[in-house]
Amino acid sequence: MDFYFRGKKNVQEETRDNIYVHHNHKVVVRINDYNEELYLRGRWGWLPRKTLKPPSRKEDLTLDELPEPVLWEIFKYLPPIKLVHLETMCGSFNNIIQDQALWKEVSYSYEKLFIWDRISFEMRETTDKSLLLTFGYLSDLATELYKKIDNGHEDSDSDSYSQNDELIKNKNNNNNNNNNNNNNNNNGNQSNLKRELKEFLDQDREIGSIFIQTTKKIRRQYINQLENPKEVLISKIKELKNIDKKKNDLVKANIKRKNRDFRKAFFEENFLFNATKFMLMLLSLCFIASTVLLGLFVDNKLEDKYKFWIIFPFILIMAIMIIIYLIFFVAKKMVTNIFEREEAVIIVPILLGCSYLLFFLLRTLDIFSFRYTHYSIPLLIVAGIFACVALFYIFKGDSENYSQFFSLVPLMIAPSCLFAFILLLCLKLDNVIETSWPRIFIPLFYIHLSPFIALCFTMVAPCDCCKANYSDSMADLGYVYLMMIGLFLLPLCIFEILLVVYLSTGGIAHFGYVLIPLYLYEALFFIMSLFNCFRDK
Amino acid sequence: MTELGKIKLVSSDSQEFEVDREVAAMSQTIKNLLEAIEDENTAIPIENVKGEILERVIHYCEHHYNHPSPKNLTENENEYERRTDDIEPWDQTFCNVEQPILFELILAANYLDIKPLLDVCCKTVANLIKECRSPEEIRKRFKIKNDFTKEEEEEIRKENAWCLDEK
Repeated sequence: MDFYFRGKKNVQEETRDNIYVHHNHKVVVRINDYNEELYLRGRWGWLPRKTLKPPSRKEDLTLDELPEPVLWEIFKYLPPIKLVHLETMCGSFNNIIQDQALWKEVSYSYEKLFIWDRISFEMRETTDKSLLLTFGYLSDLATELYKKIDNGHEDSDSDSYSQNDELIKNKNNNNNNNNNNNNNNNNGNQSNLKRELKEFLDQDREIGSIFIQTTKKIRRQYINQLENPKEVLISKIKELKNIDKKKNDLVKANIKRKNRDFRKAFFEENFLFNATKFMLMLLSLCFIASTVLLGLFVDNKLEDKYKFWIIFPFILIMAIMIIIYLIFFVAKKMVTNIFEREEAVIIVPILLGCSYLLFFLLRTLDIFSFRYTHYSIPLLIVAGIFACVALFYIFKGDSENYSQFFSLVPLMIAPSCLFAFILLLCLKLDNVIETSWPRIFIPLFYIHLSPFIALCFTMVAPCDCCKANYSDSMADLGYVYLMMIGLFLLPLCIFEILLVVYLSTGGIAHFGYVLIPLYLYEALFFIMSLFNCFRDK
Repeated sequence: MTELGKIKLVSSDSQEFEVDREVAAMSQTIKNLLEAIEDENTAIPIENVKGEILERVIHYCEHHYNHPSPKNLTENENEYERRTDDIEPWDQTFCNVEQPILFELILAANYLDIKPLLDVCCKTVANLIKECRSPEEIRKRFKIKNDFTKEEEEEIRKENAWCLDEK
């Protein structure tokens, strides 16, 4: 028996049971002599064929083997989404589908589906409810518009809102006629969606107008219909994405703005600095009050039991400041999650404040009787901390911090002088040392010199008030600085001299007179801090 | 000798079919050939179509010659949608064949230029593709070989990411 396969006589190979027919060196047919069955070599093995009729058909033709023009004929019936699927199948499909001519052939109603497919994809990416609503509505509205275009209706560009309403009405009417392949459930959902969306659009006119503009734009493009359908589609989608962004921005703008404002007020606009300025003002008032009380007390015009009130304003202010600092840092830590190393310095006043509060409480409650020297202990601790930090930097050899630290040295003169004075004062009051009063006050006078020394060293302002409120330009700073110091230090120095005289002579005059320069100083300080406080506002 | 008004068609595997002239003229290709050939008795070789397929094509043509479909079935340009669900029942059963045969029918219809047959077959294939829910299903069903390089495939996937993972 001769076999012809694809027009050629084939090589045959006979075994006891079977005849094998070869084609192109492959066995394609197996004939079982015994039961006269014929097997065709299929893709997945031998396929039985009952008849011994020679195979008339070549190996199974598959879709991808069809010539391009024929594939076009098939593809033009397919929805774009399927085309995109096919695009990923193989090279020949990809070529055909990439060819934009086919996109023109593709029924344009499918383009709509294509757009909505894409929109639904975009929708999956967004979690914003309002956006979802808008897209849902957009698709409805656009379907409506397309239908109008299809029917040849060209409605005038009336006011966008009235148009909007009109379209909603239209849509509702059409829902009753239920023409599309939407099922009833879907329609129910859509009308719900639309109602919600309408409410939403009414609330937010800005989004509403963007939305309507976009639908108009889509419609216009649709009328000008598609020289280049695929590209138009893509551009439409891009636009949609843009609205997406715009709307996102709009919707989130309020929240963001509020958030930003809060942060700005709290951190960026230096809340701490403002609070400190305000506190300084209060502090200056406290100074005045305390000074008055002190004067009265020393002149024995105040009973002993009111002694507490002399120091009370300071305690109050200190407590408030500690609370503010703590709140500030906890809040900052929670909101911005940033903690700068420089801010660790804040621990110093907090520590000091806390320790003095503790002392004060123990003293007033008579739990523990302090010697004056005890009051210098917290200061000693702080000084120790500073010394340790300095040593740490020096031995670590961290050049940057090292130089930074030493640039602070001139500024350290004032605190260390103050510390020495307080220590000496406490020791004198405890009668530990028998030094005369003028000697005790020497460190205090050095403090007044320290700003000048600091100025000579670094031109850095002695306190934040000056630093922040006056121009950073050196000349400016120096000038204003000298003026300020002259203004402030004069009454203070006079007061200190008077105080030394008063103490040395054992009280020749009323203490009230001694305090007069101090009042002047405090008044100046108050005016200055008041000015600071409201200058920016 | 062929009967009057009949012509002889010869398939690629040398099978001969006698068909009414009018029926055969449904194929634009044959019609053109007939106009060119003077001798009516010449067997017309249909080189690209095998007997098995030609038989089916002739069957289709005969049926539709005897049962002409309404005119409006032809492609309407203003139609809202290009439909694939308007295949007549007879055509549906006619097209209900194995994929390879269907494709060969398409090729034959394309070669012979029989528009209604081509449309019907293409619609059937389109329906088959539509039935597939995922790209993978299409690939399996139509045994489409993936001839992309990995980079190409990656690029295409990226480009079409928005619709590939659907459903």
